[in-house]
Amino acid sequence: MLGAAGTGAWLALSADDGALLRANAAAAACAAAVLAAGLVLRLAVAIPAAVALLGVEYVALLGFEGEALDLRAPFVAAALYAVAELGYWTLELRGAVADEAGTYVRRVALLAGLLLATVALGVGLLALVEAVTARGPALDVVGAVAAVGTLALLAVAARRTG
Amino acid sequence: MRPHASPRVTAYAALTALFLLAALALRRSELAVLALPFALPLAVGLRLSQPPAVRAWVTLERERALEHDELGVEVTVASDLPIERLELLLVVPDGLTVVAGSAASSLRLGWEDERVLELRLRCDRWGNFDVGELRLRARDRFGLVAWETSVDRRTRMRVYPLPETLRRVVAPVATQPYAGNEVARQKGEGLEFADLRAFAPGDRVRSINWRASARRDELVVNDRHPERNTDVILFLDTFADARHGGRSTLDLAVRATATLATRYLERRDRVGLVSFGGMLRWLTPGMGMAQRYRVVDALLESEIVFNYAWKDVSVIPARVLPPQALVLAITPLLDDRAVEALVDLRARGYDLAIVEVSPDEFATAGESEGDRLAHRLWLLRREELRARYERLGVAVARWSDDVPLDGALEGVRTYRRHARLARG
Repeated sequence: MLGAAGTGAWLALSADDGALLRANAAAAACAAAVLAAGLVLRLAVAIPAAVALLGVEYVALLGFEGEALDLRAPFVAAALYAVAELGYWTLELRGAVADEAGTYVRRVALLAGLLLATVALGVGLLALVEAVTARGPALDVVGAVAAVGTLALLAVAARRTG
Repeated sequence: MRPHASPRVTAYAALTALFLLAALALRRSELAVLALPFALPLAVGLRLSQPPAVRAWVTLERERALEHDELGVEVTVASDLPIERLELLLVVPDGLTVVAGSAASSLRLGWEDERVLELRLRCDRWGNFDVGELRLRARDRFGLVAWETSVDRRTRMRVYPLPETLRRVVAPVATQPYAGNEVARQKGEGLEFADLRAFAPGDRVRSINWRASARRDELVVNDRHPERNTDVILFLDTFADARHGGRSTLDLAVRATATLATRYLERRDRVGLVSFGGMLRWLTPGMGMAQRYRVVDALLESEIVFNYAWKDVSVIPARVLPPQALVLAITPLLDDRAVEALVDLRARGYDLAIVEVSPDEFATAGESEGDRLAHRLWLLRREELRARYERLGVAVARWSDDVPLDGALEGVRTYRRHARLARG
């Protein structure tokens, strides 16, 4: 929850416009409240909802800041992922299962590794976007096909897992 | 093992879709970067996840214990493939408590790994317990998929009731033909001196009382009381019980019955058991250690089974109630069917004594005046019930947890001693 509040505050304070700052602050508070309620009531669905709210905050920030490529995106992505993972971890910790020694260290290490990978891949992706100068409807179609293909692959993988 | 997708799968897929669609709609590649951390673990995790093959078994330190004993349980799990997180839950039946270790724990298994979890259970209550039902849940590295299964490695554990201190038992009025520890009223071969009488042909020379013969100027022999065994039927009332917290009158009744059975069997008496309640169970009278285990094992099955059908002693097989047996009823005197059955037994001429497992401490008076009045009326009714039995010549011992059983039975012994004198 602190992660959600911190990410939301960071995105809100990044806004130059006063109205945007207030709107983002409200969205951040809303995300933190949704996450808190979900953790208290053990509702896992609250976690993606809170992450989505923080994502909306970032979209609003992008909308006000013009066309320039935003280099904070990999860090925002890592922060959103950290919020989601820590939220799920909190829900799991509320169970009565006693963990053996070393479990938390391994999990923190895995999370840290994933966050670093996120930042690295995100920076790489932005660099690729920066390098590609082509524009036009053909590129949009390629992007759309890539997005749909990604989702389809995920759906197939999820279905195979059951 | 059955796979289940965790809530992460749906959530991360939805967030990936949301951010990718937003990236397309708003033409901002930064939003595609936001989808990256959610899509990546999903793709890698789902691709790498494979169903685990876990073997598990449970070992009990011993299969017999006494109430309040502690005993160890070992849960062993093994797997050929590594499992990032294996959660296991040992289902602990009511009546047992985990005092060391945890019934629900998680661990990590490597390649061809085997792990042993040690727990200690305390037996809070007597009874038969099936220990060994395990529920396993294996998770993959990213927590996306969980495989669940249940392993049944149940072993029957018998927890015997804690014995009460009891030095003397209630002696039956009549004895049986077999040798035992009870001094019979009849005269015959035995140790206890009974009387003197004139010598008769067939009397053994060793039984001649030479001093008395010298005084009377004729041969006089000693008569003796033989030591015989007795038949004792333990009549356990399982129609109803009073409960509060983790205690009940049935728990106390079973404890008392087991103690009485043990003590009578040690005297070489024949002991039978009638569990008279919603479900009728009985054991024909028998002797020895085997009968002791039979009685105690039968007692472990005792439970209150609600049944509104009227039952009287005619449903009990005749061979279970031998003539001249002492019927020792252990009852809270809460159900009219048990109350009337005992009256019926007395009317049929059985030597009857009652150990009343007092439900008084389980039923406290309420706050209001009406509640207090009702409680007093209930207590008065119980007093009247005891008086009714005593008018029939039946001794009633009130016993509760805080009084030694020996002390409660002393009242019965005293009553029966005086009742016998009065009859004589």
